[in-house]
Amino acid sequence: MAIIEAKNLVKEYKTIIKDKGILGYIKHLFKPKYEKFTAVDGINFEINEGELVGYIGENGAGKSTTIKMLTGILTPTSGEVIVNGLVPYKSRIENNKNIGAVFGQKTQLWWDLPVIESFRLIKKMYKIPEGEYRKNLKKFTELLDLEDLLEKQVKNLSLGQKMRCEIAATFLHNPKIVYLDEPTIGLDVLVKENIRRFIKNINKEKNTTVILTTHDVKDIEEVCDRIILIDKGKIIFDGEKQKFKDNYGKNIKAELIVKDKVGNMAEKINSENFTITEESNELIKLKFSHEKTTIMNVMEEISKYCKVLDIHMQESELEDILKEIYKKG
Amino acid sequence: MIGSIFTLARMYIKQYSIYKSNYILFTINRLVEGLVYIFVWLAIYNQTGNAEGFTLNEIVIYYVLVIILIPVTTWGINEEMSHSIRNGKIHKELLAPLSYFKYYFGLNLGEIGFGAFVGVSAGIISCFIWQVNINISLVNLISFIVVVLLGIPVTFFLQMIVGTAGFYTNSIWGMQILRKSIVYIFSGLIAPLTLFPRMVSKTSKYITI
Ligand SMILES: Nc1ncnc2c1ncn2[C@@H]1O[C@H](COP(=O)(O)OP(=O)(O)OP(=O)(O)O)[C@@H](O)[C@H]1O
Ligand SMILES: [Mg+2]
Repeated sequence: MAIIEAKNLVKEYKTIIKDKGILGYIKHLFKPKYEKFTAVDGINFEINEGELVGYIGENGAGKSTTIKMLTGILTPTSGEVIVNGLVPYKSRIENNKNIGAVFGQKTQLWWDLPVIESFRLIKKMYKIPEGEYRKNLKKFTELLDLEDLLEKQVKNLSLGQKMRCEIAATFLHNPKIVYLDEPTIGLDVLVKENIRRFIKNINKEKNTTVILTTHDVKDIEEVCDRIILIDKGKIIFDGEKQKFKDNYGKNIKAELIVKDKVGNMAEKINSENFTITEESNELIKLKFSHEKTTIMNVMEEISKYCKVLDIHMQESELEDILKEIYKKG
Repeated sequence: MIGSIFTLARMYIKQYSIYKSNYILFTINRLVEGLVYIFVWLAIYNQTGNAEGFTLNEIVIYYVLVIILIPVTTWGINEEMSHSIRNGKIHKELLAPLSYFKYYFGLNLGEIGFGAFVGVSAGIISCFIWQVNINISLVNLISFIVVVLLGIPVTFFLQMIVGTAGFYTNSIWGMQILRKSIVYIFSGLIAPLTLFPRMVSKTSKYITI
């Protein structure tokens, strides 16, 4: 059964429009004009317990807005959200007991106090039993390497250290669902790695449902099984990661090591089926689509002009696919 | 739930107490404020030979009490609240498994707890400065404390009103001053209520600050 359900979810923001110049601003004082902006435009999805979902899209696509509606911080303009049997914005407090959330640029830790104090508060607020709290704390400390951080004031931590503590704080009460809005923003590769491993680990052990938004495609590659891609408030893809690649990643890149090349290949071959992206005397890089041709055909064409020694093929990566999709707009 | 509220209050007090300078500066502040009031009354007394029927000693005791009470009655979380609305920290409060109201009640309790500590410290120091000898009965002391405790929810509601104005305006400061002035006047922190025009003292009977 789905643990999260969104039906026709819409969020409109009311934005103020102002005329130019100081007069325009003053005019606005007496007669404000508003404009509606649809940030999330009728999205539907179901997420099952234990799924690791990557929620991706360009800047301003409406990811954070969706997450805020799922957590109950924002009320949808229309449509329905049901999380674990509850409507989040109606029973926010009840819902909060089951969830955890990280908003990348903000912190839930107490700025001036040592990290451990925030953990203790969480223990108290969520009524985490002593034993469970100890067990989790010990485990998280090991996994996220928090040993030296717990007694430090939050304001003295580096970004990466803070995020590790933040993540620990979010999972401390064994939430059923965790929303992570850009948890890896601004972190170095090792910390990112560490956080990804942690998320996967907890998901496996406790069957926690995780929804992750990120701009780092590697997060998705490594953590998520499913991708929901949103563009201008509408879902344009929802499905397994592999299916996403199959659907969009039809382009294949190949590198050929060649010998005895005669002249400029790009000029001679004018095939519609593949494009040469780079060439030198020993190396030709090219791109072709699965649908149009096969590597054998490409080879045949190429070998008219040179001798092919070796081939190197590469399926397009998530990053390239996203780039193409975003460019098309 | 009660546990969470007290834990929040404790966190808030800890947050203040982490910097010694907070405590010292706040206390000095209170002393100076009290000093100013008392000097003004001394000046009046010296010029006119009376202080509206109060003896000098009564005036001094009155203001020592005012020094103790100011933090308890005028401090609160409205600033914190409106800041958190404006800079988005409110998301943390909305994600807590505790209502926004209770969350802030906890914080407010912490603020007042710390305020009481500052107030009492400043009060004790001023007792030494002005050589006030306090002899109050236990019953008086207890009823004083009870009245102060009863005031906490009242001031908290005022704080909530001003704090949540952060949703509509970015100049909380003005609202804050207004709230403080009202509390100062109607709770008799500036001067004993009997000295005000009759209308004010009458009104104050209906405003329970
Ligand atoms: N409070 C608001 N009032 C008006 N418009 C808003 C508000 N919050 C967000 N928006 C607009 O809604 C759109 C979606 O914003 P949202 O924060 O959900 O994007 P996002 O997908 O999270 O982007 P990013 O990847 O940059 O975080 C944006 O165009 C943004 O300008
Ligand atoms: Mg966002």
